[in-house]
Amino acid sequence: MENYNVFASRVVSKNEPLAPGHRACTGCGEVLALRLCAKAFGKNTIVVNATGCMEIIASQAPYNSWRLPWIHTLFENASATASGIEAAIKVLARKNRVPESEINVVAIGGDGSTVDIGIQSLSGALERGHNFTYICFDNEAYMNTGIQRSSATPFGASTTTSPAGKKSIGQSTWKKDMPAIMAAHNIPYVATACPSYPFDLMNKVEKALATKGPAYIHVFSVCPTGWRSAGNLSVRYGRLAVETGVFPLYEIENGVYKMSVEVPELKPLTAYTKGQGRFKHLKEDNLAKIEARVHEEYEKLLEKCNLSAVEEGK
Amino acid sequence: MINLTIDDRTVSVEKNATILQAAEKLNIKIPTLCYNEEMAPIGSCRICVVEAIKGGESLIVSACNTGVEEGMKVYTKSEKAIEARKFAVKILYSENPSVKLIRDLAEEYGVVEDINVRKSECIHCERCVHACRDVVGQNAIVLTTCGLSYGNDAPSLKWDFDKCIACGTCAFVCPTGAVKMHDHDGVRTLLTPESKQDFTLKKCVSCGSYFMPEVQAQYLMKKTELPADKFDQCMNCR
Ligand SMILES: Cc1ncc(C[n+]2csc(CCOP(=O)(O)OP(=O)(O)O)c2C)c(N)n1
Ligand code: SF4
Ligand code: SF4
Ligand code: SF4
Ligand code: FES
Ligand SMILES: [Mg+2]
Repeated sequence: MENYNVFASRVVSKNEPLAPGHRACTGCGEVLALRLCAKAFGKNTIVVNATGCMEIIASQAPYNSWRLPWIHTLFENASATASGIEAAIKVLARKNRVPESEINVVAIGGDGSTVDIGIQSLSGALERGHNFTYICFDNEAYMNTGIQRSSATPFGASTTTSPAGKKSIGQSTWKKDMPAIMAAHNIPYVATACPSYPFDLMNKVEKALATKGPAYIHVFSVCPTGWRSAGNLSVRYGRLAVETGVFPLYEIENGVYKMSVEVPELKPLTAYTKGQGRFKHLKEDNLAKIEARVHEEYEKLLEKCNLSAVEEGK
Repeated sequence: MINLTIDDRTVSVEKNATILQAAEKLNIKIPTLCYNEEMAPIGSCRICVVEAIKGGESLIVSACNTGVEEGMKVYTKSEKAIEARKFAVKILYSENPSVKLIRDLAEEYGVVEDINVRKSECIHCERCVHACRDVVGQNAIVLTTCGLSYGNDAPSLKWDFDKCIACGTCAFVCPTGAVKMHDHDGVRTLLTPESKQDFTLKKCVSCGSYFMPEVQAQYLMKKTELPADKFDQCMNCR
């Protein structure tokens, strides 16, 4: 990945389709991700927003933070609504009322909304091949209603519905591999991203929008409130998730896997778990078990990337 | 406010607005290449040309850097405007047929000749030159233009690697990918249309990861007047 840092940020678009003054918590990594995505949406995008933190914090009646056309949906039908909008644009374009190629349709939702509840309508929209982008903002639990576990909550994390205690380690299941499920639909573009790598994130959103057909981006979103971590460290935790192999950044373009950030040597897992209240109860052996699994998954991903590189080289 | 018409539609904009900004307000699309919203207009590619009628006179002007005037009549799709834009596309296409952006424009404007002067990905839009000079303040890129003193040589870009701090802003603003930057094995490589330069990356004293080019750390040290040990650690360990 191009590590542009200091200077190039001055030429990033100053357009803010998501206005300041919303009600996200201080240090929210999810709204930072959303703001960067919104910059990449540009001016001709329709946003479909499932219920969750990002919807609630941006739409306290009578106010709304969006400077783009925006529609609030239920958990289960964000993708169905986006499908309908995309189909409507096609009809209007046929009648010469709008230029079809210039309007993007984006559906957004949290992990609860995407990985659990909205997965059926999302799967259907991908299968039908609608020309839209779905972005999942994964803060690893149902945060807006008070930290309930989802199928994206990592093993060992303590939430209100997977509380750690004498007989419980916290979340007792492993995180669902959502990007793999999306890739299994054979859609042209799947990517993972994180706002700690802002250029990479915006670039991936632009790529997804330019893709003809469905595209899916899974965005790792640090939630200091739900993770019980310091709000000023959200960007750092995002980086550490990548550097420890917990959340690798990669793209799957037409089935071709490619690492976006290559980490020559993964940092120890504790560099990431340290300071997060949701992992505080974990013992050394618990952490070792999780680390082994993280490394195993990372190796599997690397293998897919290497295989792709070999096939492409041919 | 200034009132004008674009493609016979009325619009009113701030007095220092450009034709491009006024058109945007009406959702009228004018193609651009060298223009970057976050930088001062460069006006080098001529792809944004439109026909402007002021004081009864019809002129061909570039929309990105021409200011609006009261009563001005702008036509973005008149025969004259399209002809002028087609000419700009023709020049670019003959020089850079390998650039997808240019191929797409050629197709849109029905330009077919491909005399294949050069194979470079650089379209000489000068975004990198201006970004390095105005945004970074290093002025490390020079465009040697064609002109009498250059004979018939094609214009070319020269990077001065004594001035360059390997920030990659040129790569970021380049619309065609003619400048590339990537980090690998403790080195940052900058690939320009005509040269390749490696920069040593600094290693974090705490965690061992590479985080910033040496030259950039030196530059920031001087600029900020902070002690050298402030540049020993990466962003995670600081
Ligand atoms: C069908 C339904 N059940 C429950 C709720 C209450 N609810 C609103 S937001 C929310 C949490 C959403 O979690 P997620 O999708 O992960 O987004 P986050 O808030 O974490 O960003 C819940 C459970 C609802 N709005 N609709
Ligand atoms: S609960 Fe978490 S995701 Fe929701 S606004 Fe607060 S920090 Fe952001
Ligand atoms: S990398 Fe070098 S040439 Fe490019 S903008 Fe930065 S200082 Fe200028
Ligand atoms: S290198 Fe890129 S930015 Fe610089 S003049 Fe050429 S095309 Fe434009
Ligand atoms: S965009 Fe106006 S001259 Fe290049
Ligand atoms: Mg969530």
